[in-house]
Amino acid sequence: MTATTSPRPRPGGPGGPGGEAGSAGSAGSAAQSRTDTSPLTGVRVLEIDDGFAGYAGKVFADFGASVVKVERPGGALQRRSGPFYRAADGNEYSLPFAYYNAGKQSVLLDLPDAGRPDADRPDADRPDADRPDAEVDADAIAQLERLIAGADVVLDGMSGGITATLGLSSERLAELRPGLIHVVITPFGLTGPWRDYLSSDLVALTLGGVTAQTGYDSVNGRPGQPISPTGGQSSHFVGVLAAIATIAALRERRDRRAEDVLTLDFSVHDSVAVSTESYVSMWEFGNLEGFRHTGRHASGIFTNPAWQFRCGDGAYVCALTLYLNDRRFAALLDLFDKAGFSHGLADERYATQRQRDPIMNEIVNEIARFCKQHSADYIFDEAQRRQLPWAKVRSPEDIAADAHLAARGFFTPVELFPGEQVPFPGMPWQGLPSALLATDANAHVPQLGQDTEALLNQEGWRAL
Amino acid sequence: MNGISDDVAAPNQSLKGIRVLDFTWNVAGPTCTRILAALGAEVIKVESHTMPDPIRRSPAAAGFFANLNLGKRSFTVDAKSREGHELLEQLVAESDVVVESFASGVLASWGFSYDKLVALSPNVIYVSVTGFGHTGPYQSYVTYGPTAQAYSGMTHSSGKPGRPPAGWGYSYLDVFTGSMAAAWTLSAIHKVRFRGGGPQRVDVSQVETGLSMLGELMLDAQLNGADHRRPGFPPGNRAVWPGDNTTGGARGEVGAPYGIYRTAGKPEDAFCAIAVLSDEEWIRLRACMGDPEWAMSPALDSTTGRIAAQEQLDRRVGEWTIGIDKYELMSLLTAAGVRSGPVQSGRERMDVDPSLAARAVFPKMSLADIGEHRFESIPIRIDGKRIASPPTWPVMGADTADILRDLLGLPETEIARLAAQGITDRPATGRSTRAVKARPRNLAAIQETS
Repeated sequence: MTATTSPRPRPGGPGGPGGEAGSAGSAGSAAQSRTDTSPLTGVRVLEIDDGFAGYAGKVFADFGASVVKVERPGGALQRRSGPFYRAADGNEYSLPFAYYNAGKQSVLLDLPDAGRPDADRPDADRPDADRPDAEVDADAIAQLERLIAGADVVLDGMSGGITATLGLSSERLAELRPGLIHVVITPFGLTGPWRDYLSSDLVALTLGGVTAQTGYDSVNGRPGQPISPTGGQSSHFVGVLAAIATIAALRERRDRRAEDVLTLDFSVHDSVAVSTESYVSMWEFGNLEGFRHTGRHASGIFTNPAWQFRCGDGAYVCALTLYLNDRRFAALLDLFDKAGFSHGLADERYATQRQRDPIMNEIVNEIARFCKQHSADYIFDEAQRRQLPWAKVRSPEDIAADAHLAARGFFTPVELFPGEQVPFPGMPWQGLPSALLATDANAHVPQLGQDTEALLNQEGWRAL
Repeated sequence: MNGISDDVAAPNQSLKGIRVLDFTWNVAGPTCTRILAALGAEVIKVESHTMPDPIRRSPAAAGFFANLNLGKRSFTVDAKSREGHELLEQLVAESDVVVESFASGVLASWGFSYDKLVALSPNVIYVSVTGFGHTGPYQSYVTYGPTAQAYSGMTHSSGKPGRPPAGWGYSYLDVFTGSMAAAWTLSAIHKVRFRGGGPQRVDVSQVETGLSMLGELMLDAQLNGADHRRPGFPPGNRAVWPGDNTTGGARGEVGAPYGIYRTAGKPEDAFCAIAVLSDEEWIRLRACMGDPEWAMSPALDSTTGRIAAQEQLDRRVGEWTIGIDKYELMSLLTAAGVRSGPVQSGRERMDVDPSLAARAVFPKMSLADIGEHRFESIPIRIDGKRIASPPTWPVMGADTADILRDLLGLPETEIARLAAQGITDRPATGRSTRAVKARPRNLAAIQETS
């Protein structure tokens, strides 16, 4: 092992005394605006997204970076993606677009759609349908170059990338903005035999291994059906990795005043393929292909029995029985007894974990019978009160009234639409007691091209 | 590397000089610190011989543990002993970042509250990873990955109409939350370095991480009162269920045919995804199938028409795919510009997938006590080079003496004494690691996020 250990003078922290803002007083009140407290305030990100890079841009925006989204004629495809919301101003807004783009600015440039994946809209709807595809508007390129010159990061999710599609080489990018970080997110990466293939959320989750392991239990030896979860998950993991690598690079490059362009190459496929918990290790070290099952841990064998039970109110609970040690078994019996539920589990046969494991099905049958008699909320409350790691399988509408999330301020009021504050799902963390990030109450959804004039003709990038 | 790859790798030193004291265990927390190690941070994994990371004894054995802990050093200490506690205090004082994944309150009960950490290391970044977070009425609730997935809506949003939720077949939220925690750690490091301003505390919740990955569904429920237990949601493997009254099944894309189709081969894994997202792509798929008469119906010319006819479409497409090997099907379709890819197991990703091989997503490494094996990379490529995790893993206690000597400045005699007395090493006599029954009371509540 190469030891990097060496003691150092303290205090100083990661950067020693070199921080710009000298003062150590960040103890944040929630009232502070995010320009004061956010970690990436002052970082300028130019985003071009054809579907897989918008989440990365959201992470940057949530961390306080100034994110400018470049849209092409007709606007981002996501603007036409449902479900929609009719806001107080009378306009219909795409909720996916709102979620992924709140707090960004929008610039409309007359750039080509040539490299863009076929849209989920009829070709005749395209504003540029009668334009030759390959023609690139020189003015638009000049405008894009002006924006690049003011950016720290270009988040490039254009199909094919801006280098291949718009002819903006690394050398040109370095001329425009010495030290630029060019983050490219494509379905299969910039190299490899599949680099030019089209993909989609479903295809990415399927190729990457999520779908193989997810779905329904086999019944009587008949393999269950694989299922691909919803939520547009394929863009999330790659987006987080892109944020991680970019923030790390920002620090390192500022420290050495780098002037070359750094190209970060992210593949949606590569990212999904390393997100499947232990399935890769299972094959490499155990020659196990993994078992498809419903809502349990990764497993190379059929992990009998099921963990998910239908309750009296029709909802489901996830009641883990895998870790039913003596303490939890005692808690389970207490749960049953206090509810007046008669069961046969007090018998000596169930006294130790070793005795219980081979006859776990009997215990599971009792849990299933118990669940049928009670609501999922009751079971969740009573189980967790006894430190049983169970939860209700909740639907999004169950979550709106959640007292725990309310206490943590997870849904924060944000002026998402003009004149309308809505409870917006926050970033999944809290900075306590020194607020790392205060909510930006003005994180509205940008109208198409609303910042074009300001950014190109007037003050340039938003004063930071 | 593995012969079929022109892979070039280089270690990354972006976080050189950052020291991370790592109290995490199981999956979520170690995923965070593993990423920090791959970016050049010095990560010291702290364990005790009586309470090692449970993954060390997981069924996938050393392989999965090593995979989760690549590039970290191992420091062992009896944190309950007075001297052990003092050693930990000295290590905190030498660290920039402290990461832990115990249940809320456990680290504080050991004497390492946030205030104490700050007193020891004034600009410390303290990152905790738990199921419900360190505040709020449910902070003491216990979760594993599947629990948090159920509670956050992740489980419900996967499945077929009219069937129970399908959830996820593994603890995706462990992997994702750990990665999110790494992003926040980096943003906190960035803030301390460039924006000044004292210590940072980051309280990461798995449940909230799950919620943040279902943002549009949350907004739809809150603003439109949408019912996600309606017939037609979740839409199985379709983009949208026929007759569902909304504009999409929350995949960020709409089209038909769209699904997972059976192919030739073993029934467990003979499936292939096909996603047609436009009329043009439908014409291409149709041509691949040989322009059969049924497919030429004008009713199928539009996305709306095809969604309405999905039952018939899926049956017909399935009758065609069942005769073709799934990889051949992908070749045929992608060559024609149709989005497609087979269901791939861990084996297929590692042994068959040519793209992952070419990009060395599972590079071979030779590790002490384990030998040469393939591990998951952190798939970040910089200027054409994959970032290479250091080819080391935390062999239990292997770095303890070096850390005591080089970082804390202890003389060899003292290092030997601490080991002999069981402060930093397995107790010389008596209790064996496996036979420990009488765990300290508060450890029973420790969260096992796995």
